[in-house]
Amino acid sequence: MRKEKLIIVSTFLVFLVIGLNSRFNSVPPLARLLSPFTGYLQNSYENIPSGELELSELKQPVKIVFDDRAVPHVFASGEQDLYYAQGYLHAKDRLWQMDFLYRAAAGKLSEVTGALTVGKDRAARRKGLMAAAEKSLELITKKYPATLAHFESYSKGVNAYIRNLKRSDYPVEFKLLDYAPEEWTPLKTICIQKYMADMLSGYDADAERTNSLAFFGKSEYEKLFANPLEQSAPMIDSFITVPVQRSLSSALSMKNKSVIAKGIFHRDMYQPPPGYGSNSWAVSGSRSATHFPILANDPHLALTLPSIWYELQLSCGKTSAYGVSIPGVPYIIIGFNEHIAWGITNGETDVKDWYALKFRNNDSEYYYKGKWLKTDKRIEKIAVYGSKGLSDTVLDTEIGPVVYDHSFAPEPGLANMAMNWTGSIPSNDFNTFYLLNNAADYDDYANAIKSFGCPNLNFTFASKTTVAISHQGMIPQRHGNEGRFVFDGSAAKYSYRPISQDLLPSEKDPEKGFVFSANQQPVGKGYPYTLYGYYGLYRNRTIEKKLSDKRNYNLKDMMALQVDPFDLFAKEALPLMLAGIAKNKLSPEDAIFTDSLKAWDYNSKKESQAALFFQIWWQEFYEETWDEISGLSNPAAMPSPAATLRLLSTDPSSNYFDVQSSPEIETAKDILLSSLKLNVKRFSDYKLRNKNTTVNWGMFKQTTFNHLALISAFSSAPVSCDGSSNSVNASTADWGAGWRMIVQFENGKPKAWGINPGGQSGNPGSAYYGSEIQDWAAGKYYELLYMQTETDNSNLRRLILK
Amino acid sequence: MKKGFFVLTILAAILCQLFLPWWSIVFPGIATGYLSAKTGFRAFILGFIIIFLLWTGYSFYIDISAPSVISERTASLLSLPNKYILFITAGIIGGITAGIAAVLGFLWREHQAANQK
Repeated sequence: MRKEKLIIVSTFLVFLVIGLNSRFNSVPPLARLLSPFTGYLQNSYENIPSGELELSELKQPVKIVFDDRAVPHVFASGEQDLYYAQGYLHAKDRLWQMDFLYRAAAGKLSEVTGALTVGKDRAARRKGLMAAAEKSLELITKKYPATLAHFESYSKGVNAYIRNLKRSDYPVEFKLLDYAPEEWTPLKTICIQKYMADMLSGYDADAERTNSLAFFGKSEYEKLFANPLEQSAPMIDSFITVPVQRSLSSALSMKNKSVIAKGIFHRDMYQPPPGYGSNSWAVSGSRSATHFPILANDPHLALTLPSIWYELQLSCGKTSAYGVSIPGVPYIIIGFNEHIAWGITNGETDVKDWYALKFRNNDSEYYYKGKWLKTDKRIEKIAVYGSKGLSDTVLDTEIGPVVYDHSFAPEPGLANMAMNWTGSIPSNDFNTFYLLNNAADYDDYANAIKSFGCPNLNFTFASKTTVAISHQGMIPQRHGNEGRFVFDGSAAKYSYRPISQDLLPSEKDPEKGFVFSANQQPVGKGYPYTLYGYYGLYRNRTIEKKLSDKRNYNLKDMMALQVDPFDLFAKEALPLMLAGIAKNKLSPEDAIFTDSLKAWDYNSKKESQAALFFQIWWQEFYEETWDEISGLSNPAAMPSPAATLRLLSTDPSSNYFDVQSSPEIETAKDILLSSLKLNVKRFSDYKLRNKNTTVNWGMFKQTTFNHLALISAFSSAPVSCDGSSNSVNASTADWGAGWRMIVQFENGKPKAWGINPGGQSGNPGSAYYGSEIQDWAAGKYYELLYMQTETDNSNLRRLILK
Repeated sequence: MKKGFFVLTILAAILCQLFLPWWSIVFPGIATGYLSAKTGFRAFILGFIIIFLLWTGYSFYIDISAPSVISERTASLLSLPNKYILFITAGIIGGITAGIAAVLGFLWREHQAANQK
């Protein structure tokens, strides 16, 4: 009897220990997590080491000074040591984020998170991000030994940190998801760059626009999807025309419709959103209060925790660069040094094209250039936590991988779409940042950006004497409608020819005294190629107007412009909308709504109620207008808000305003009124339910910095902040300026201000995690500490790596 | 059970966990039951109390000595109302494991004693 009891109790104990030591889907290994000796509580401590640390891999000791915002200032005597230290610091603060971003590119998220991310992994695998990274590594290994050496030093630094890490010191996400950090490699660094490239150039609407073309017909389509130049203030007004061969233009114009693929295209897979919101400008010395140029940049991305940016100063020998870097990648991506400052915004020019292909013999052959060619089949095995995992077969063709095949289409054969993307062409984009970190003048800058391939970016530049702007990247030469639709892969010959470097739009010291970019149309008249992209229409005009306004700009003006909540779209839309409302049809409650809108100054301030009224009214009106599109079974692109406004002003009785589900024939006036009344009712219902809450734009928008793996307990609390997607401060619910920077040169020396709302630390337990969100929401800045030598500021914490 | 023995077991538990995984708490647990308990129930209570005090107490200690939002965040992650409940939950989970280990220790001694007779 005693023996049986003994066996029962020991068996129970073994199962209990195993159970409490294991993860069950979303339930973490409980006892391991809760034990104060090994679990989450061990992440309570700030990780800002001081003193000396023996790592035995450095040529000379590296001195690191941590300032009050936990920003490290690195002083090394050689480049290898410098990037080793950067790797060590990235790992110290962002190890889990680095692993997660690498997994996102490699399609290995599901291995640690589970079935939720299978769609994202499948998308990354089918687009071939890993293959693209491998090809770039091959190029870098062969042709850029210096870059490879930096990557290897950087990896060594990361791995030195991992090697000395106890299990109890693992970032808390590893503890929750129950896995361990793995060795860092140069390939992983390149993977992160491909992930960023995919995110920044990943959005396209080719398939949806092809469906729209079929739905509307050619002439209506041209009317509804036109993007008139006069609605935009291009980065560069005019371009000196150079005679260019237009051999392809007639073959691929709208007149020759045969090349646009016939059929309805269906795709149902994760797609990055169009990355709008970034701004950058530089005013020349003649227009600045200090008589030296000022440069401002606020790149907008998904607002995440940990912050996408890691701030630091990298000093080595002659140069000392300060700015933000991306965890997983050496160098500073946006910043300044003693001589120059540079900023970036997404170029938004479309560099991802789709070709419909015909297959036969069980997908083993495809028709291209008049012949049947053999396909390459690639089998992607995706490991999934908590299940068996899955195998996905991807067909590779001369055009590129068939990202969408019949497993995505309701009707077989309609959606074999091969992707041609500049991101899969090997390039050493990293070289641009290395050279910028070390640049001393405009010529160095112009030489540096040449290496940048994908995505295309707008670089802004300022030195003590010069300002400049460039639309840089590998951009296909396009004519007519190339790139706008899904093309028939079997009908014509396509070959990728990039626009040559000397013909890429760029401008130096223009007469107007400033340069600026806000994801808008890069060039105005006279450019020999058609640049087609997903360009913004509103922020650019606000910036242009503000910078043309008065003569001398100071730091305060630059700050005010970066956080400017003026919504130009609202200014253009609201008068048209209000004019469509007949007064006698308004109830007293409706009139409160419209009166508040009439008095509005178009500033999307957080405390504004009118800003909220406008946003919800416009949204409802827009959706009701295009109900014929949202009702389609295959996704089609809706005409833009700008095109909808054009329609409202020129043809208010257009059929498009008719509501499909009602027997009556509605005009714009009818749906303006019905969408207004609907929102008035929603608003009063909401106020009845929530008596004590203030309802305003900021509270409604609820800007939130979401944790990268969407662990909501690690996300920020929602904050109330100014801005809407068409104001310079383009903060939305989950998108905004993850870094704001202003650099001015005073007496020949750089002085800078900035804010990194997500903070330095990736540890949700740290005081430096999301630490600057409140100040960011209030539009505040910190003066950045640009250290001249490592002996400055002796009161700060110091670490010596040996 | 004597006070000295109690303190000794806690020290042993601390030592185990500084170098071994969390489940090393079963060793002091077994030892407690084997060396001192008079009944299985008392063995469980003793083992439970030792690790409950250790885990909950140390949790409070870290929370006070290194104030961090990680406790509140983890509490919310596990749908617990606040960090104090989280520290107590930790103690209960560790305590139950150690308590059962102590019962095992007690039964083992009984088993040996029966065999010797």
